[in-house]
Amino acid sequence: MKKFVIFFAFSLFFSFNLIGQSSFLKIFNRFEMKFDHQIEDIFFEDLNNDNLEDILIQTKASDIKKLLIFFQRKEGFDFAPSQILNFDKNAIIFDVGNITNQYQGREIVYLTSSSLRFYYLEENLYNPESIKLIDISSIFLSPSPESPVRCQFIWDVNEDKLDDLFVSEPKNLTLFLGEENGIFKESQKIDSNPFFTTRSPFRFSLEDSETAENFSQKTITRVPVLYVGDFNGNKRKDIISIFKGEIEVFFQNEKNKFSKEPDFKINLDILTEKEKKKLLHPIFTVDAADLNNNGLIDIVVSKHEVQAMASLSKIYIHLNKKGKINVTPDQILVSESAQGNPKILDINGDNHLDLIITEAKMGLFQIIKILITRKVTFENAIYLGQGGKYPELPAAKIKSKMRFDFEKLEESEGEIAYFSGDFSGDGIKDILKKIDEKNMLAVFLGRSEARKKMFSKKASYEIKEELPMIIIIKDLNNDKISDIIFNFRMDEKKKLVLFLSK
Amino acid sequence: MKLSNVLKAEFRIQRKSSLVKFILITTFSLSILFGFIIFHSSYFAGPLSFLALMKGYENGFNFSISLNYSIFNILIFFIIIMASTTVSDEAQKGTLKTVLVKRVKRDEIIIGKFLFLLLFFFCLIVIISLFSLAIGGVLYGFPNISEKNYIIHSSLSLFFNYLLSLLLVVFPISALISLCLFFSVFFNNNMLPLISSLGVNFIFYIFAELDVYKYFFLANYMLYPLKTFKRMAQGLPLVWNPDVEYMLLATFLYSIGFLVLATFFFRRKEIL
Repeated sequence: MKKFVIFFAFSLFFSFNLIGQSSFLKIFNRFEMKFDHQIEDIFFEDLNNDNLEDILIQTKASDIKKLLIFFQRKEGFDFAPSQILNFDKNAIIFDVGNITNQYQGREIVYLTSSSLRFYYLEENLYNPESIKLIDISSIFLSPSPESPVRCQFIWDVNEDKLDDLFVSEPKNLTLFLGEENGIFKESQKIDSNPFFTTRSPFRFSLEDSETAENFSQKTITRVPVLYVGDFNGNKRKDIISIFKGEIEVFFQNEKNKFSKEPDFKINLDILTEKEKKKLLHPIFTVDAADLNNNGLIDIVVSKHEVQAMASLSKIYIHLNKKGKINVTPDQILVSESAQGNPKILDINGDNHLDLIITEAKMGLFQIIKILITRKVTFENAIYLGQGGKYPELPAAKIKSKMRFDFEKLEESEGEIAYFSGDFSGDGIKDILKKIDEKNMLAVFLGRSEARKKMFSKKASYEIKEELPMIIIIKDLNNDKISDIIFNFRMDEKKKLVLFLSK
Repeated sequence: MKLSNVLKAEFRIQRKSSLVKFILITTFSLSILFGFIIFHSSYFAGPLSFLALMKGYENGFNFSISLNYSIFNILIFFIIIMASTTVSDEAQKGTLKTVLVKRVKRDEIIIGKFLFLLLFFFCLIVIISLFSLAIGGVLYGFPNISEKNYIIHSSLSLFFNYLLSLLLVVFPISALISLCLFFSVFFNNNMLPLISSLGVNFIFYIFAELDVYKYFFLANYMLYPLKTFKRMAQGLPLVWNPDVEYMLLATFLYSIGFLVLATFFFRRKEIL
């Protein structure tokens, strides 16, 4: 009898697990790709204009700069790459864009120390021979020995369906406007510090031939972040450069021209004089986004104290008023904990951007608790925006945990919540929880009804899988339902797992 | 005998008490010390920054509430010591017997002691508040909490909320006094009620850390009024609701409940 009870309990337990797994696989198809080398970077682009995102992967092959291309078909992805493109060894940075109508699909454009070149799609594969587009000397004097870095320098600024190119030179940005025949006319030079259009710290090699012959230096530096969007309400895209607290905007006129000097310039004076004098002054980030859905780019500044014991974090909202941002913020949100950079996205599907701020209380007792338990608890505070205004208190707080080992910090485990996915296709963001201890992935659906809690209490879908350190959420098959990508780059595993929505 | 007379009698007894003198001297000495630390808190760099009691925006209200909050933490111990020994001490010394001979009702003695302790500690907090507010005003003034011309909290709203927090602090104090009086009634020596009160409060502080059950424990509300205003004075959002309602309900139940129990057991107490 006792044995029967134990057997029954076990069967019940496993059947519940199976129910969980099958429910996750009810909405996703699982794909797994294996590689010879570790993944260095991964990008998603619709290369052949079929409305399906393809995958570009850089692996850590020591000798050749390779780009593995997986074209997405209606059924999903193949297990082997559709093409392995050997990158030009002189390539430093690259981007993908539609720079000419002469070839099908989108071109892979890269910059060398002396020219801009591109690979083009021919009979569903990229021609391994690149074509030179323009001779140009950029700020990159010598090629990087590492794989080329993906960096956005292609935009359709004048919205003529042909992408335009931005090239950074030592003291200015040169804009090349694209034409149908694939010829680029140097449009104009814009006075600015070197532009990089990436948010992450940038790897590049610099060689100063005058002072240090045969000397190369790898530098990690902070450079202006570039945004392209309408700032002054004339329905044309403007160039917005943000460097520390300084914002420079170059308006696009009726002739699709930009002025050499910025049309609007402001220093937000983010750090007070007292803060500047501190040994460890507060960390801040500046983001640009249309918070109130009026078509104009607004500014969000996040500032938090470095001192863990007395952390006080502030979010400054500067709303765009007819092409102007004031030094006086429209709102200041103050919280008592150390914060990460705010995530700006529309959580509840009302077309107004919301803020997700990751907070961790860092008092003396909390630090002692962290050191004893080796566990840090974060709270993701969700502030729902309405017309660019945010309530003083968050609408919901979702907990995340992280357990760490002092000796093996890279093997830290936890329970991390991701908010950028919509797994039901209702336009409301859902929570994807990565629970390392249980090797489990769970989806909690978002709710639109104001009376109920923002997310379902119980997981709607869950699955047990070997989990990576990085999870990417993106709609790869353009069905308005988010897909999940397991990026094992940090785990030093030579594979990629995809969950594509059915 | 009227309640006011009992209160007066209690005042006469406590006026000569060495414990009251000790509390007054210690409180005012610590106020000066804490005031000095708070004023210099911004100079403590890096790892010593936990001593920076005044976080956020500098102003007179922030200075005052930081000082008041620090002192109140000490006063909680003094309330426990004084309230938990007030009846047992008299029982030990035998003075309780002489009071009862004067045709005073036992209920009146308990209520008189309760009111005296409540009044004493409330007055002490008000005096410290006025004292710290005056010093804070001299040192920092009372400007609006603002940054880049954006007003986070106006000085008027800060003033009224400070006043409100001082009034609200009466509720947790009265609940704590009732709880300690209840223990004081039980024993005829000072040590046992003191240990019981400290022990129970310590357990309450542990349980108040639990998210689910914290609303049932007094420790969750002891610092609530001052803590809420302290957050406001630092520039953080002011949030009274809904916790203030829970605090009023819980502290009212604690006060009435333990006061009734204290009088009930005191009526039956055998006084030798």
